[in-house]
Amino acid sequence: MQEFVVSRSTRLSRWAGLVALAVVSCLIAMPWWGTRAEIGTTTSFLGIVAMAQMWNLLAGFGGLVSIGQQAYIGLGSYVAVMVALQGGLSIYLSLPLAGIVSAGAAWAISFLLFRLRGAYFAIGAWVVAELLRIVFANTASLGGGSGVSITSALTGIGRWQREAYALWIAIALGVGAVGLVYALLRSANGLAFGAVRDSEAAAESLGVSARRVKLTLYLIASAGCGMVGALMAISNLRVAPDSAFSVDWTAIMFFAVVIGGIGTIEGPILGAIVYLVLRQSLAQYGGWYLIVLGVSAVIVMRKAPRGLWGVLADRFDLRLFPIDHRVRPRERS
Amino acid sequence: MIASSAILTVEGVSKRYGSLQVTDNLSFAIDEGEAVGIIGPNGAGKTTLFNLIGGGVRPGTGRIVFRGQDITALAPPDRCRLGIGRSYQIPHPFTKMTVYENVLVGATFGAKLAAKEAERVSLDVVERTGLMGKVNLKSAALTLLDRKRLELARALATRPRLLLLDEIAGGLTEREVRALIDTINAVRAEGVAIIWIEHLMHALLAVVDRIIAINFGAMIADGRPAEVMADPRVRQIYMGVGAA
Repeated sequence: MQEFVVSRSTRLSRWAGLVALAVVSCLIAMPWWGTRAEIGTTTSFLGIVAMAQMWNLLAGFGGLVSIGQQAYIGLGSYVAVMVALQGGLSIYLSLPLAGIVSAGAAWAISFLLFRLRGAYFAIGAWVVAELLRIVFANTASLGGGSGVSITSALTGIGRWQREAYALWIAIALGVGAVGLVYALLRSANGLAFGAVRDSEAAAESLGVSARRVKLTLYLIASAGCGMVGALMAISNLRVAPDSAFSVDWTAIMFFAVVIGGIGTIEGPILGAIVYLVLRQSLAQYGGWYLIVLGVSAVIVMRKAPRGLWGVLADRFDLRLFPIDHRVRPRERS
Repeated sequence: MIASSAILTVEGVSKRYGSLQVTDNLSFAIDEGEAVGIIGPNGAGKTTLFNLIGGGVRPGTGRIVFRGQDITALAPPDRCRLGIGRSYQIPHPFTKMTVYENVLVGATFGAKLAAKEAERVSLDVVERTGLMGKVNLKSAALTLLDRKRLELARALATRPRLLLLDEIAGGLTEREVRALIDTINAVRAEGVAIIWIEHLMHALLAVVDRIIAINFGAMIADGRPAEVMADPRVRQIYMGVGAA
C-alpha cells in the first residue's frame, strides 16, 4: 500500500514570515524615523487589525455575528481610567487587566447572550453594550456622560515616550492577535472552529461541543477587544462613554473583516488597510466617508463575498498563513 | 431483563411535537456487533429515532442506555465520544474544509486521539471509504456519492462501537451501492454494531440480520428480515401491498 504524509507549510509562507519580520522591525523602530501623524495612524491601524482579527474569530468561525463588541472596547477603556485614577499603579498595567476583566465580563454575559441565536444574538449584544454605556455615563466618579481625561496618570512621561509606548503596545496587540489566531487555527482548536462554522449539527455528532467552541471564541474576542480599548484610552488620553461604547467600533471591525475576507487571517489585515486609506483620503469630505464605506462594503459583499483577500488568494493561489492540511504520497528515499 | 450483551437499549421512549406523536413508546435492544435495519414509510419517525439515540433530540419519556450507561441526558458530543457514530441523511460536510480535515475532526474530537494517531486513523479511513483521490479537495466540491462517503468516513473516524447510518445508499447508482455495501460489511466485520435506516431493501438485506419496521413512531415488526417482510402489516403499511 502506498503511504501518505500530511504537511502544512508552503514555500510562500516562509517568505511571508521573513517579510512580516522585516515589516514589524521597521514598525518597532518607527518612533525614530516616523512623524507623529504617521505613528498615530500606525497605532490606530494596528488597533483596528487586532479588533478585526477578534471579530473575525467570532463571526468568521463561531458564526457569532455580534454588533456589540464595543462593549469590551468601552470596558477596557474604563479599566484604563480606573487604573489611572487610582494612581500608584502604572497605566500600562491596565492592558492585561483590561483583558482579564473583559473575559470575566464576557463569561458572565454569555449566560444571557448565548440563549439568543442569529439576529437576536447580534441585537442582544448591542443592547448589552448600550447598557454598559449607560452605567458608565451615570457613574460620576468616572466622569459621567462627558467622560474623563487620564493625562494626569501620564504626567511623568514625555510625549515622545508616550507615543512610542502606545505604538509598541499596538504592535504587540496587532501582531499578537494575528499570531494568536494563526496558532489557534493551526492547532486542533482550528479544526473544531471550522467544523462549528460549517455545520453545528455535524460538529456535535463528531464529538465537538459547539457551545464550548463558541464560548472560547467569545472569551478570546472579548479579552482582545478589552485590551484594544485600554490601548485606545492610553493613546487618546481621554475616555467618554459615547465614543468608548460607540457601535462605530463594531462597524469598523465588520468593515475590515467583510471587505478583507471573513474567515481568513490575511483578510482583516487587508481590510484594515482599506479602511484607513478610505478614511484618510475622504477625511476632508466629512460624512461622505461613511457613505463610501457603506457602499464599498455592499459592493464587496455582492460581488466578492469572500472579500478582497478571497479574490487575490484565488487568482494567485496565495496562502500567507497556511492552516490547511495537505496530504501527499510519501516520497521513496 | 435485558441481556448484558446489549450495546444499546431503548426503553419506552416517546417523543411528541405538540399533538404529533413522532416516537411512540419504542423499546428494543441492539446487541454488540449486530446489524439492524430500520424501515418505515416517510414520516414514520425513523430519523427522529436517530436524533433520540444521537442526542440531538431529548425524549419526552423513557430512557436510552448505551454500554450499560444511561445516556438519556447526555449531549451529542458526549454520546459520540462514548462510541456512537452517525451519518446524516442529508450530508452535512464541513464545506470550507478539505476531505482530510473533515475526517480529522472525527478522529481528533470523537475518538480523542493524539495528533499522530488521529492522522494515521484519518488517512486509513479516507483510504477505506474510497476518498483518497479527493483527499485535498474542499468538501464543497464533492458529488453526492462522495458526500455520502464522507459522512461515513467521518463517523468511522470517531471509532464508533455503534454506527447509525441514515439512508446512506439513497440516490446512488447500483454500482455505487455495491461499493458502499462492501465498505459497510467490512466495518461490521470489525465488530461495530450498525443501525441502518434505508429504503433500498436489497442494500439493507445484503448487510443486516434483523429488521425493525416502524410507522407513526411505533414499532410494528421486529425480527429476521424474511419474517418482517412477510408480516401482513408491514406489507400493508410499508409496501403499500394489500392482502392479495
